[in-house]
Amino acid sequence: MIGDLVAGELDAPFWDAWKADETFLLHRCATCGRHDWPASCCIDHGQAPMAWVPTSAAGTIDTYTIFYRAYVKELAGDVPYVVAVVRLDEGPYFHTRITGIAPDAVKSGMRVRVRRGEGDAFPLFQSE
Amino acid sequence: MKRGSIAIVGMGVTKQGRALGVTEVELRRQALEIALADAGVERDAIDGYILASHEREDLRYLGLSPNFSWPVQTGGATAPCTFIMAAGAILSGQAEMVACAYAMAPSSGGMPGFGGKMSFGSLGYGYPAQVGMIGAASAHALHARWHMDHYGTTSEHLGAVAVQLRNHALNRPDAMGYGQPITLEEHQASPMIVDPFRMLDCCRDTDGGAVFIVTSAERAKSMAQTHPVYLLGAGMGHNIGNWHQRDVYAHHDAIAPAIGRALAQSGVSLDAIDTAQFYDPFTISVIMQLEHYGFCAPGQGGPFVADGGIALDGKIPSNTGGGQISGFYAAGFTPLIEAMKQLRGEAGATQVKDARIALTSGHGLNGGVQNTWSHGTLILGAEA
Repeated sequence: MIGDLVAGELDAPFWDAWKADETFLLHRCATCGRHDWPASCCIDHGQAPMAWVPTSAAGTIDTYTIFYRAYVKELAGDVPYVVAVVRLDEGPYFHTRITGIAPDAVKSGMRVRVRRGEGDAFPLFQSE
Repeated sequence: MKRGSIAIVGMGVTKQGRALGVTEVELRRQALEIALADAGVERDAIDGYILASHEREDLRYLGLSPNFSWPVQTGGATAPCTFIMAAGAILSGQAEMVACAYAMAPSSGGMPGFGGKMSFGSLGYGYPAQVGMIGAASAHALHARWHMDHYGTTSEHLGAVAVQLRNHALNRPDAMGYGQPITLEEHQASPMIVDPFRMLDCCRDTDGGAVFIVTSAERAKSMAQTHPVYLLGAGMGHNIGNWHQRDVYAHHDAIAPAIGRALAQSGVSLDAIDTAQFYDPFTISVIMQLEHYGFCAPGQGGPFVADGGIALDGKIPSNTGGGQISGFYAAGFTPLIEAMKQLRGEAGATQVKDARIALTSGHGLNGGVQNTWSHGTLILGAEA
């Protein structure tokens, strides 16, 4: 990680819920059921029907990269590390770290789930 | 825009290289002087100014007196955007002769640091930066990994791009890779930076400036000493639509709307293009653009390059100056500079024989959480 979490204010409900009890929210359109992350307008129904709702916090790895180089000194102790794009089961992409597995064992299509109980300020994922 | 109504009548390119130690505004002044001389016009002919990025001091320092000065910044798509904006100004009667200017000196400075007080918006890739997703290489690596896992593209395919671009640059004194061959084995042995990119898959920042002078084709006719190149067509696309459809990584960018409009305006088909100059900060960019522009089938970009498809005698000679990876990184102006050289017959050892029509591309910025970019396509012609 590279210091304290910096949160956009439109996403405050997401960060508050995660901080409170590690509930993982997505922004959902009540009209069509489409989920988005972070705070969004529904591309078909606008902002009015959007509300934050608890979700599965699980999905599959769509793609990923492994950092072998630390671009800032705060990350020097982390390399090599994986940043993956998780396709959440509700639809949206979520960029995060994949933990608890050797970087070269990470594969596209792998099932992953949010990691809880570790006090993560930013939701990190691990193999299911 | 009607085909051939706009002409590029002047090009000025400064030295491009590492740590030149020259300020950006001074690089633009140098490029402007070269472009004015190339066009055979004086400073006071410039009545519109478009700068890639903000400007505060340019007009005063460069001694220009235009009727407007517009900043434009959409990353690597800025270069084609400046031409589109210049065409708009000319065709709407706001200017007769517009200077499109660029200069950066990143290798004389440092990379913007993290830490201290940040706002969400200051994180180039939004939240992903907080889990360590930093730098353009990783943003492109996500597309490269997807392509490899979906189509079977290999690191050797990426290496084939790197070697081909270096082969172009080898005989081009204006390229960083001039006189320095590389082999596929050297590519494979170069250190992994952000998987799947090795060091030789990545371009390096270079310093340099470029100015183009754009006017109407009508006006160009009366400029006897110039060697005009014509804007035949232009188009843009934005990958945010693919974010909304949850299909970002299959697309390098949203190229389909950009090339569709550019071809329709120019009235030519893809086979009429003599040379392509792609925005290529990383090797995957060449592979995916070849596919999305339609020069080869989806997933076949790697084998296409490995089989010589972008060589001078290949199906579509591409990035003939070495591109950004082995040439120099002047953002989206690298492909434009090379396209101009090709159409003016000034590309030296890698001149494409009888090059009359060139395609150029640029993509970038608008990173954010979604990591999607603008894409711009220009089709340029030696004749209107």
